[in-house]
Amino acid sequence: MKTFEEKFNAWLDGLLSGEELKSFENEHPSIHQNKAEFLKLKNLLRDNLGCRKLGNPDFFNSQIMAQVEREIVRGGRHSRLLGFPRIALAGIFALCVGFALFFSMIPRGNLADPGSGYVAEVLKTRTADPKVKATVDNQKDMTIIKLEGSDKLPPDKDLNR
Amino acid sequence: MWSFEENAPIKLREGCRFYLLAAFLLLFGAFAKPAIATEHVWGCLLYASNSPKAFDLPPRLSGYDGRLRNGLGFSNYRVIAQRETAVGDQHQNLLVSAGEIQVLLTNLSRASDGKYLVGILFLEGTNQVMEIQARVGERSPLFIRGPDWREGQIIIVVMVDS
Repeated sequence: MKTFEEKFNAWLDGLLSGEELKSFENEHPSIHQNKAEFLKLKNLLRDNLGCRKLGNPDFFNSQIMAQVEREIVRGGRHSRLLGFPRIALAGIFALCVGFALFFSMIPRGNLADPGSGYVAEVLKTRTADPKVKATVDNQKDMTIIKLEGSDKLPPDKDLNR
Repeated sequence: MWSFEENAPIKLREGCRFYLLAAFLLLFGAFAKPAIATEHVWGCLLYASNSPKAFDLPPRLSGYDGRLRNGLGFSNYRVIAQRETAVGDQHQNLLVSAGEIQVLLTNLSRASDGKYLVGILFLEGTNQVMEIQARVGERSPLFIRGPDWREGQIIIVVMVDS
């Protein structure tokens, strides 16, 4: 169903006919009195508010496209900052730091046993006096070289500091 | 295809290189040993006896009291002399001495397995008593049961410190 505005515009343009024209004029009997003024106003609006052609229509398009490109570049740069290479390098860095801290800060070996990791291996002994013999006693976590046949030190000899 | 080297901003690339360099320096710095390291060797002379006095072991030998008692058969140990020597490039280093007893370090070198090859010379006055070549680990004391003295014996202890 047409609205009043649609019917009124069609009536002004002379597009209403038949029953539709008759019923519209019967519903609005005073419309004929102001028809000349309506037509004058319509012409005035058409002449002054019609589409105005711009001399440089591409200027606005180029501005909008430039702004869109700037936004795309900005968004791409932001995503690259958190991209795969960055994350991979950060991972390598964290791994290296972790290894370095692990090997430098955490002591290895059995701390409860002071003899753990004990290494003392006698490769060679030589005594100047043939009467003196050196024997090696390899015990668990303790190696002792026993000097046998050496002269007893005089008891009055002062060995104290 | 997107290439990091070509497309990453210069500041970002420089930042990444800095992180990598710092990481590798930190990593290798943790393992690296100084090129010219000064090792410390500790020498000690103990008087071991069965006198009823209490133990007097130096702190570096803490934990060895039971083993010393079982291995040497003495119950009491008293420190006669002890000394820590920073081993440089001298030919012979005096490790410890007391009276006429002297213990010299004639050689110290680090093997590829991290252990030390040590040469020890035990003297009484000017007389050489014994020469020893040994392979020892860090903080692994080597015990030498020396001459008898009074009611006990002289025990020489040599230990390479870090």
